[in-house]
Amino acid sequence: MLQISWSGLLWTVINLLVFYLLLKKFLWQPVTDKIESRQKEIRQNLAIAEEQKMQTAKVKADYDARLAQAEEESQGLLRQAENRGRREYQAILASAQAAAEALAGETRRQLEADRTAMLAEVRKEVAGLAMLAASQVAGRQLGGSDDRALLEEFLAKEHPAEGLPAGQYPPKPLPSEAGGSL
Amino acid sequence: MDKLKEVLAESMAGTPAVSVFGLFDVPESVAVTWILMALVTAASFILTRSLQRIPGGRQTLLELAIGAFNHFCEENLGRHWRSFAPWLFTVAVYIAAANLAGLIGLAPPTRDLTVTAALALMSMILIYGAQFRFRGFSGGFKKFAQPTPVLLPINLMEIFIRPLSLCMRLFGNVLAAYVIMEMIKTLAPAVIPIAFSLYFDIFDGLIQTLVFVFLTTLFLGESIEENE
Amino acid sequence: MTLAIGAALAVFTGIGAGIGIGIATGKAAESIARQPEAADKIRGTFILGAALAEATAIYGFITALAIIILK
Repeated sequence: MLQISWSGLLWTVINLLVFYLLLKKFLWQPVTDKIESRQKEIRQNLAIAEEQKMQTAKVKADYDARLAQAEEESQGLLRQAENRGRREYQAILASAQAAAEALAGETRRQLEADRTAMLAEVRKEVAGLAMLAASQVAGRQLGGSDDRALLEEFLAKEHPAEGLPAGQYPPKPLPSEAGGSL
Repeated sequence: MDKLKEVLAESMAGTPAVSVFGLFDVPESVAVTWILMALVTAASFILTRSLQRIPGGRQTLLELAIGAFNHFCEENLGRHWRSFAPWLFTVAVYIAAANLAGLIGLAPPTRDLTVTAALALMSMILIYGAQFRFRGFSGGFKKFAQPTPVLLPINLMEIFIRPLSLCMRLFGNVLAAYVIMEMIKTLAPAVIPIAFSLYFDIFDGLIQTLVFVFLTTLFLGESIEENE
Repeated sequence: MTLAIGAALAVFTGIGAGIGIGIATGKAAESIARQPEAADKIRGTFILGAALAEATAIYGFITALAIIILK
């Protein structure tokens, strides 16, 4: 066995070459192709996944930006509404005050007019009564327009109708109520 | 003791010839090689018959083995690995099958010096063929004077030393394992040889496969490496 | 008798191979312990070295067999 047979050598070389072709065709090539196609697929899938991840990040950034913008807008709207509300409130308050004041003035004027009218009435009544009384006393008819005029002048001297300040009518019963107005 | 001597003498005497259909004689190792080739090819037919995109158990093992082998080739041979991987793979499968042939009762072909000589010869042709193929004619010659011209005689001697050492290592190991196994069987015919058989037939056989392919790949990588 | 002595001497090459592989294994184990991440490269180098060292033992064995059997 320590010798080499040349025919055996040739046979073995041929066998090896045939075995090489067989194994390459039926074992090595299919398996290697399979492995490499799977590697390619994995690489592709990873690339796709990477791309999708980037896209997702972009969409999220976009969404965040929009959300921030919307937030800002809503804040602006809120502030605007608040301002308008405050303005309207002020306006309503002012108009209400004005209306109240107008009503008060109206009432005061009304009262004033009533009082003036009443005073004039009272004065006329008093002048009539005085004249009646004086004529009873004097036994004669105090007549004539000069007598009436005289009386009226006298009454006006005693109680000047316009002498009272607006707020002091009716005459104050107590000093503590002084200045009490509407 | 006489029996052992007989076995040894028989194992050294030369391979019995096997007649093929009575037409011509071939050495026993060649006939066993044919059987192994048929078995391995049939096995690879069955294994690769239905490769799936998502591998099952058997396919995973197969892909793991061939993937690891390809990775090893790529690491040692660089970008030309694809040209050599199938051949190196064939050599690996053949030596492994030959070393394990004893398990199914065949005489391992690698116990024949002729077979290991043929393997080493092919390795030598591959290594130096690749050297001239990838470096050009003058580049191939210049490689012998690298890394320094002083090494020229050693590099030239290596052309013959390398295949001789590959051939003798494989042959010697298989023969030694065989002889030792025969001795053990003579001394203890029952159970005990099984444990030794595990080491000498399986472990040693696979290690020698690894060493042969590893050395061939290493020499090959050295001869085609690009100095950039 | 002289043949047997010659064969025995040839087999003594195994001593060198054994020492060589022992040293190589020890150094490889040390290197892997020091640099576990380089284990693959160390293993490759170790197998190469061990194979080369072991070849001498095999040569001695073949020489011994040749001496005995081939006379």
